[in-house]
Amino acid sequence: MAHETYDVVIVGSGASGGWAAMQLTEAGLRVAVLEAGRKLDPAVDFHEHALARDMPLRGAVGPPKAIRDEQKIQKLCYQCDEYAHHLFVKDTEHPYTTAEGQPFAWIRGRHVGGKSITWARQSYRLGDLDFKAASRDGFGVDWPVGYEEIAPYYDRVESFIGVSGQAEGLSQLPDGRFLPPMELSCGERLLQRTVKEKFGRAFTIGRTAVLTKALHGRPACHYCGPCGRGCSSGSYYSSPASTLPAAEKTGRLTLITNAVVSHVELDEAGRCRGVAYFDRRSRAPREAKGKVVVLCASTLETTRILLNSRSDRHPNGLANSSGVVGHYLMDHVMGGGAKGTLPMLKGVHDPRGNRPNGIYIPRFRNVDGKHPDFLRGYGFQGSANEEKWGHAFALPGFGASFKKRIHERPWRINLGGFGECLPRFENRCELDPERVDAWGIPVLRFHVAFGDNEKKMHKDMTDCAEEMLRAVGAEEIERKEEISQPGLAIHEVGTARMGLDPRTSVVNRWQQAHDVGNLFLMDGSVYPSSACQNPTLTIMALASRACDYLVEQHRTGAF
Amino acid sequence: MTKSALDRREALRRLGWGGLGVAATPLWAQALTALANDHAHALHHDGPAAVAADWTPKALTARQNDMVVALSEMILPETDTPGARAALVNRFIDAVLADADDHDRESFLDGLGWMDERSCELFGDDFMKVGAEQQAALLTILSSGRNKSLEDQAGVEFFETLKKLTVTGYYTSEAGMKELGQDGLMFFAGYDGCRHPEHGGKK
Repeated sequence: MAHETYDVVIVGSGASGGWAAMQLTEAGLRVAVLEAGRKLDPAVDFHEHALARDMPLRGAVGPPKAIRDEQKIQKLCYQCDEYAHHLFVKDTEHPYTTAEGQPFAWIRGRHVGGKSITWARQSYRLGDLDFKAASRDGFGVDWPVGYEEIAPYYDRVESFIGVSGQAEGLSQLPDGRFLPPMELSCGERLLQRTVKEKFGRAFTIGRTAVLTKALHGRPACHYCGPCGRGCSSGSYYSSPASTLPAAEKTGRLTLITNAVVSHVELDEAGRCRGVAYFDRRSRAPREAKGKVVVLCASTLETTRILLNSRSDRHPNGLANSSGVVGHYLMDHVMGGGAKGTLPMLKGVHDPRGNRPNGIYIPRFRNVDGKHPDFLRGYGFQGSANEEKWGHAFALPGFGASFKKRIHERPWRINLGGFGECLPRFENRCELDPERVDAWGIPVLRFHVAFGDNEKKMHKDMTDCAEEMLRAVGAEEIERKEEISQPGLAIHEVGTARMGLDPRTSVVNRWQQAHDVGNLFLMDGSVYPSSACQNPTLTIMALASRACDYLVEQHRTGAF
Repeated sequence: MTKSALDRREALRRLGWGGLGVAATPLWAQALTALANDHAHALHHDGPAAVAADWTPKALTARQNDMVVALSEMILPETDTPGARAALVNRFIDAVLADADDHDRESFLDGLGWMDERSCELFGDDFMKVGAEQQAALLTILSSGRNKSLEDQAGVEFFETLKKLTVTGYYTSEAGMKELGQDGLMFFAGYDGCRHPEHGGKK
């Protein structure tokens, strides 16, 4: 097997790598998937059913000391806590550098399934408002594809992974093939009414890749709550629970774990021959040969592999004759929003069951009109729920009366925006000329900062959230004034964008490298613009479309 | 035990508490974090703190441990439900302190020292040696949210941290969950949502 030349070598086993593996093996191709990390064991690694008191620190104070120092960046992600820190990399083994004064948070998980284990599962379609944004407002470039072309692939992905949601008939947020929606809490019902009636804005339950009905052998969600610690029943989409088993069933999948890919190998004709990797534990160099290479390593790892695939023929890295590899890095701008309490719900109890989902207020800026301050828009995610006991921290006093007052549990309401980040050439990553990771592979150096448009959008998020909370009658309203650190939305996209012009883009409309015909990129790196919707669903739909093309090319002998 | 004024200012300066407060979660996470507190104890053994009979503190001295037991019980006393002492909240606090960064642990221990020092100034003896009324009087100063004189600032911040840890330790314990009506069940057929037409929910 070691010397086998696979039809396709896929780098990365996450949301899109898993999808590509399934689709390509089911089409009859022999596929190797290389994953930098280990295989997780749900019985050992997933702690979603642990009670706080099962944990030494009750899950309340972040990762334990033993690993805290090794995850200084990863612990910025709220999921990287006592229950789930092992689902994130150690920063000490996976360093990167940033330009002076430009912090960038790069959150990663290296294990079979990648970030599909820890993702927030929100799944929204993009529409032509997004794909053709540049034509409308003149900034950046349009996508080389439109909604009509992508829609069947959204259908295909949603039908397989399972997305629950409510159809709303909105142009800016096309409906999908939904499983039954989850329900709204009392506070969310109140907000929904206010937002619709007083502001004329849409408001819907989150569209989430969590099963509200059994699907393809996967059981429906049992509403335990903390999905981000892994799901033992596989009731949300993760590649190890869904697409990878389907690929395995074909008998044509070879999953190679602990394979840390450093670069793509080329043959004498300048075509991909396979990928070079190190065994994670022994650090022995290895190669996986393939007629086609598909990078699904996640946006920035894919770009790192391209940049590190330097040769005399490609001195600036592979597939980079345009010089745009590493450029136009985007991450959704977050941090804007507001929170408060809902006094009118005092004494109303939230029903049982822990809904692993929130609400969504779809984009309303620059949909019909034109906002005077900024281009594009944002959506709000949030929730309203009855507090359990966290409110006691801020209650004055102590003793029996204090203990009694804890039972007066407030309803909390929260709104937080996810905003589009404009693609700008200067937001970029490159190979650091000096630093290497634990396997000797050059690391990335980031030059990323939000610009004026993101800052103005952020302020508008906070103003609008405050206004909506006031209108619903919320009290103790707190404005969220701090803009997020780039990277922390963990919606990093761009850096190897798709386009029609090889001089200004890296891959064509089929996600095939302009420069190298047997190299495909099937992750967020190909995004020409970020839109404001969570990216994973679109990444998978695009991958599915690219796989159709790849299979067709394979059939006609192109590889 | 008496500390110099310089020590107290130093303690004040060092009061950061960053590592000891309950981690701030982004707004999106808060709902889910709250949800995570609701799980099936029927399927779980009692936490290690609850079963270890021959427990000894790792970060606290025996004397400091006695003080934490007393203070946590004053914050959440036994009423018609158990208090912090019975819920072994001190063991949770000791575990957090043992895991904390040096700075945070020392700040907390300095806070305990501050309590003794202030008690000596006000009542002429260490906190554990003065009467219950005097102890309560000092806690009233620290917990009222008012009278935050510079003199008491270090104590106020210490007490806020202690309170957070006590509340967390208690309401994640079996007794605390039971008090709030949480059975820890984690398998549900669904989430019913709002059933109140006056809120806009369906019947």
